[in-house]
Amino acid sequence: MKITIMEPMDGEEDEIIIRCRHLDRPLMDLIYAAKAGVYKITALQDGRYFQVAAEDIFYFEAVDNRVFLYLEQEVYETKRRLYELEESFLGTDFFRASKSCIVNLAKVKSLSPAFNGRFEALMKNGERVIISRQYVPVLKEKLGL
Amino acid sequence: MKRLKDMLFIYMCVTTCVLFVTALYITVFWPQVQLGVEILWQILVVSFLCSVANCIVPHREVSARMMLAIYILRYAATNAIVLGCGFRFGWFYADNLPMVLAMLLSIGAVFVIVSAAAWRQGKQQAALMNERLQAYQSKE
Repeated sequence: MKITIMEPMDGEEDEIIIRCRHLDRPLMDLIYAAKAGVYKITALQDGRYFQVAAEDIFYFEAVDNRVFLYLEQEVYETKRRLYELEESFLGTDFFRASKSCIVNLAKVKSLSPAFNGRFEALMKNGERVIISRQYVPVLKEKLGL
Repeated sequence: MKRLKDMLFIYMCVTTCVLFVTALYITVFWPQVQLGVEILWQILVVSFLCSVANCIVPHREVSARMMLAIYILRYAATNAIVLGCGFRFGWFYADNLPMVLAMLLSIGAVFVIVSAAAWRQGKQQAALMNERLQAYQSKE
């Protein structure tokens, strides 16, 4: 595969153009990886706005109609809805773990069974997130099971 | 499909355990009795009802506390089914305390064994998922 890197003109946005005959799986993975890598979320903390890189996010959680994003130590709030985030991160490391939670699989340390077909994800920062029974098949598919 | 698979797994475990417990119970309390083929159907019916009661899962997501409450409810339902059916099928006399206690003890034992089997199945799944998780993360 030929890789060409061109410098954009002044004022032009950085852009990735893919010229291919068909989009196969490795290419799709590359696109998703690029999408996740460059994806930043505008988040709020103590009344100030920040740009948070998707790769630093451990999980998103909706609590009382507010959506929070959890990093290793910090917690931010985003104005985006959980379903919008789910769509934006489709095909990336993020997956829906429950009605109120989207988890970054790259930040999961291990998985263990919980009550009644549910699983518990131990995150790399020591936090625990429940993967509800309805979303276990989503996780299994992501892991190729 | 997944629910049916889970139910079949529970049914298989429950039937096996009930068969063992019945054999033990008959040996202790009804050693001289001649049993007909209906005892086999009774075991299958009781096992099926218990499996159905233990496979009822709420559609909406519930908290861990609610899940524990459901677990206790299932145990109560299992007791009611086994004691109700047992009484109807004439497995024990309600005024014979050792028989009733043996029934309650058997229900508890089967419930613990089946729960442990389901837990073990979950553990095996988790082990496989962790293996794949490592492979997934090492690809990054």
